[in-house]
Amino acid sequence: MSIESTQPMFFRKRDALIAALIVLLAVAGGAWIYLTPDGTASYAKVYFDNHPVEYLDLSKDTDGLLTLSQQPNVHFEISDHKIRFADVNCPDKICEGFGWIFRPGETAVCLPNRVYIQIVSDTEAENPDVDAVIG
Amino acid sequence: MVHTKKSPAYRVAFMGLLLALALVLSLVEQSVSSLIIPIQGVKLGLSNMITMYALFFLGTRSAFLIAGLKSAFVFLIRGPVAFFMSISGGMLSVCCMFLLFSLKRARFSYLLISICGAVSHNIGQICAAALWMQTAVVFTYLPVLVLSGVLMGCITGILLRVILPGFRRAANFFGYFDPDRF
Repeated sequence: MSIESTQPMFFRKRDALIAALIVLLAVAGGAWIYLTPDGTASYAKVYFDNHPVEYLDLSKDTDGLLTLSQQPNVHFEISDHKIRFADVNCPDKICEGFGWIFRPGETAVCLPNRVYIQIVSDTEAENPDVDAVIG
Repeated sequence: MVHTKKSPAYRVAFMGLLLALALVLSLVEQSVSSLIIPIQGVKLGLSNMITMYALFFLGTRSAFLIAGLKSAFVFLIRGPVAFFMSISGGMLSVCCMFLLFSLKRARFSYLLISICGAVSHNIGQICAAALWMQTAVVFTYLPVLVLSGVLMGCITGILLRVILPGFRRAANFFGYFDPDRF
């Protein structure tokens, strides 16, 4: 007894269209996320356990590494208006793999240490109690 | 159910072989991908080929077994966080591929199943990260991972296609396949 006949084919035109549709959706989503202007981004918002704990000013290059009092396992480095995880005590080092982030909305995550950072616009950082700014 | 005259011991050993294969592929791609693909979180997903082989030739239960055992291995090696990510991606991936595969009427091609497997694997991992961190912020990475999922799904699909004649010969030779699938 051998295997043949009614197995799925390898490739069909219709499926190529479906794949193209998925790609299109992803590109559209990416464009929406990365291209909506959000003012200048000069702060990184640091979250621990899903609570914001600090705003880091990206215009101040760090001389060495910053760390969080809540989570001394993680360290950050700021340089040239960019920030990254550095010298983090975690098993995966996935957080360090994010590299330098700087665009508004960009994030870097360290799951084991429950820390993540997100680049936020100046307007939010300077008015932390305000949900949105019009104009 | 897989109808085969092979003994349970044979099938267990075969599963073990497949699992070892999947783990080796995983290891190889980890060593290589940091050199080739510098983008954070993008994986080649070579071990998905093994899961697809199991799904297409050995039965749904085998596919879930491979995915589950692989995640258990990850738990032993890299800890609970990595395990949670692995099992979310793996389970969602196998579920999606099983869904597409079992819709016989639609006759989805191997390539599309591979793509959807890779994409759903990534989506599962993002959802796991969102659950773990209790935040939706991680979803900003979704477009990148969906795109890379499509690309990697194509690559693993093509690789599977290249290997398929060998798999068919092996399945004939081992007498271990599920006739109901064909």
